[in-house]
Amino acid sequence: MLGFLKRDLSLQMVNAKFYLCFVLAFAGLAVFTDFAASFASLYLVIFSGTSIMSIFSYDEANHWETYAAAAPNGRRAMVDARYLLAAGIGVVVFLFQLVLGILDKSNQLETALLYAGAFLLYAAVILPIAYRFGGTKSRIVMIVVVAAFSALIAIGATSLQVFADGDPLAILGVLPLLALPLGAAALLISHRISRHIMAVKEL
Amino acid sequence: MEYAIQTKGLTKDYGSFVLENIDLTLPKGTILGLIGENGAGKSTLIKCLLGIIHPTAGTVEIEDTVGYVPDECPFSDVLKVSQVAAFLPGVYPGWDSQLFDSYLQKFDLPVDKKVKELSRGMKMKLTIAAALAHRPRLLVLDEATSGLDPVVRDEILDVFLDFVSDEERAILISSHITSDLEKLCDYVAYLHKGRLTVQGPKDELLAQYGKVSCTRDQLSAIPHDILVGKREGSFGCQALVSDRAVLKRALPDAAVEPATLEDIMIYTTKGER
Repeated sequence: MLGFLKRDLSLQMVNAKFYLCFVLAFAGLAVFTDFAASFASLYLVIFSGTSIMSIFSYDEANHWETYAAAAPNGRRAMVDARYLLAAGIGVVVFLFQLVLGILDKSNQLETALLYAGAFLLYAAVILPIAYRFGGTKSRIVMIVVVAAFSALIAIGATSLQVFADGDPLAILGVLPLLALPLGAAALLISHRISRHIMAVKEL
Repeated sequence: MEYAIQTKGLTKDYGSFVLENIDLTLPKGTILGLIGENGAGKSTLIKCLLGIIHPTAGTVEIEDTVGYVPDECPFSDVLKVSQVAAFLPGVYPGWDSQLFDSYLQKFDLPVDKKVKELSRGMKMKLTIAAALAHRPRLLVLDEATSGLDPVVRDEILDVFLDFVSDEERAILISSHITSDLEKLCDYVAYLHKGRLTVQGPKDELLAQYGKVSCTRDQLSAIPHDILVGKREGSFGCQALVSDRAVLKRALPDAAVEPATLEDIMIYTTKGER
């Protein structure tokens, strides 16, 4: 599985420099100006979500799944590697937000948990779809999922602003604390589904 | 296991296309050439053998360690050869980095270049190096030499001959380039519309099959059971027969020449009976 993970990481690094510039720029703004720190992490979540999907496009372009399926335990290993990558990105998102909080001298734990959980939930939804339908078709689904997420967040945020005067996160109570475990649980279930999809998939 | 590959009644039913009841054997230490027209089922058969698709019926017994060379380079264009060399040891147990490096040197493959900067021939050499570097017992190549220039093909064919020289390993190669297969293979299997129509030792097949140029009267005298295919023109006729000795007895005066694999392929596919 480590070989598959190394390959995925190598492909991630192709676009990483471009994404890193954006994220660092927003991080700089968050630390040195009034720009909200959470935006930098939000961009990191969006970029990560896009870049994990781009690996499926690379897979399709070179018929990698067909080649990998002929390797020993290839079907299982390629799925395991990609989920490990998704989990790793979730950890990076969480740590990134925490570090921004330390630099910004603000408590970002709840936001960090919320963003990392949201990313894992997104990965849990999109990965089986990508395995089932391939990179190109699942991009449409990804847009729908992101739009649905955004709408939910917008509606939620507006509702919170109405009901919670000044501190929207306070009304959520323990929900941010549950986001990460919920996302992790969803990712585990999703991993089993993807493994099954790939076990029976005709390549 | 006596054979590197053994299938019995292997069937894959797609509805519109059926790979039907394939009984195929590949003895160790030999090379089997799989020929057939486009859409005959060569890739489907190879994918069934490698577990890439699941057969509808039948059994497949195959060596545990298989090196697979598809018709296109499976490594992403944006990666460098050195990055490919870095991740492959984690994909294949038994990966031999020194052996891989030696193939890179032998094939003149630059490690610091991206895959997209390599020519088609170089990409194919990289894929072959990757397939060989984990020391497989069986090498399976699906149209891997198509589109390569004769010099590169010749270089690769030498590597294949070296691979089977220990009599323990075997190669299955599908190709349209029948001249390569005539040079390389010990056995030949011909797939036509999903069925294995001809199979056997190449030298025996080439010794048995014959191409005859004759008149219409002579053509009608050829025993039907040895007639594989025929072509009738305004100046004469040509036919492919599956037994030159039987033909000689039936038509002692006819001009018979040995058939090539290409003749067998063309007459079986296009010739009338």
